[in-house]
Amino acid sequence: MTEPRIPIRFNGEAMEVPPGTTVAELLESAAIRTKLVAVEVNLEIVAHEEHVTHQVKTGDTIEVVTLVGGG
Amino acid sequence: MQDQLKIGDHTLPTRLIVGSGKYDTLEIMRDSLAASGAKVVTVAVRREKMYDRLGQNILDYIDPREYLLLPNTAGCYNAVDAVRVAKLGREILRALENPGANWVKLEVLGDSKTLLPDPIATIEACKTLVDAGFQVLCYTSDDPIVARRLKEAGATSVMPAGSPIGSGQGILNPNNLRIILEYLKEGDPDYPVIIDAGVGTASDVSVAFELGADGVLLNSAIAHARDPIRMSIAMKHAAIAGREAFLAGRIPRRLYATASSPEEGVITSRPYTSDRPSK
Repeated sequence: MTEPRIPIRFNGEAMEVPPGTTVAELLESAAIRTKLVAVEVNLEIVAHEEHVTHQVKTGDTIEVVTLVGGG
Repeated sequence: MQDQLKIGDHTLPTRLIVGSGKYDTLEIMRDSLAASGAKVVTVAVRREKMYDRLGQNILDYIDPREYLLLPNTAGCYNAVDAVRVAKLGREILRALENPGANWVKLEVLGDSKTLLPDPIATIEACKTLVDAGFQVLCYTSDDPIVARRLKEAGATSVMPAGSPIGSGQGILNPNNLRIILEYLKEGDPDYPVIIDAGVGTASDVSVAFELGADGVLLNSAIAHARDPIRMSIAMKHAAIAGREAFLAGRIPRRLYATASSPEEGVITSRPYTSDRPSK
């Protein structure tokens, strides 16, 4: 018996995660330092304080951005 | 009294704002920023590279407790995207507890060949961001009418380009910049006008300050110099030189010479009668 998975898009890549996965867990699984990023789910920012409680849902589009060099 | 630059909530000890892009290595970037003496550093917002082997982040090389970060909306070609990117930048800086969280360098471009700003989309995005509580520093062309419109839209600072981004052509139209400075500072002498983009070398920075600009924002001229750290030092001094010259007040340009040594008591003759001292 396989665990149920839900499809999401994470930084442009299609992937599947267990239901109930939080933003914080998603970032951790991708080895992303949460303090250095901002997270958007379906074009809405998920504030840092909500990373541990916000669960991703089927079909969510998640964007994680950070700072890079720029002028 | 120290010559400080006030932009919205922020009071800066130096007038040069430097970018953090296009350096060969993050180490050279870090040392160049330090050598420039700048306190404000612009950064861009981009998708996080997942599973990066090195795990390096620019913030490992820019201490957010030491520098005031200025996030930009570079790479945006419409107002909606620019507002979205500005909000993401604000969220990152908020988590970093960097005071730059309340401002943004707004850049809405018209096309990728010229990187010239789209003035209509820039004004629209400026209004939206001001309503969302941002202090907006607007990158724009050197058009005085657009500059005035941006100030009316609530921009905290208007930042006309000297010439196209990364072109190194310096200040192509000083007369437009003079008009912008006159318009935006009329009855509001402390309104900050920053020359953003186009700087090629140190003298361009001095010229900008001599014209009366309050600040200069540059990136490529340092990052792509043969020796970026040395160019940072040059830019720092050029900014001081230009600003001091502006405050000191230059002499008027005259067609004819004016001798520095006294005419009185000369013991030599003059070749033409019209040359004789009038007295």
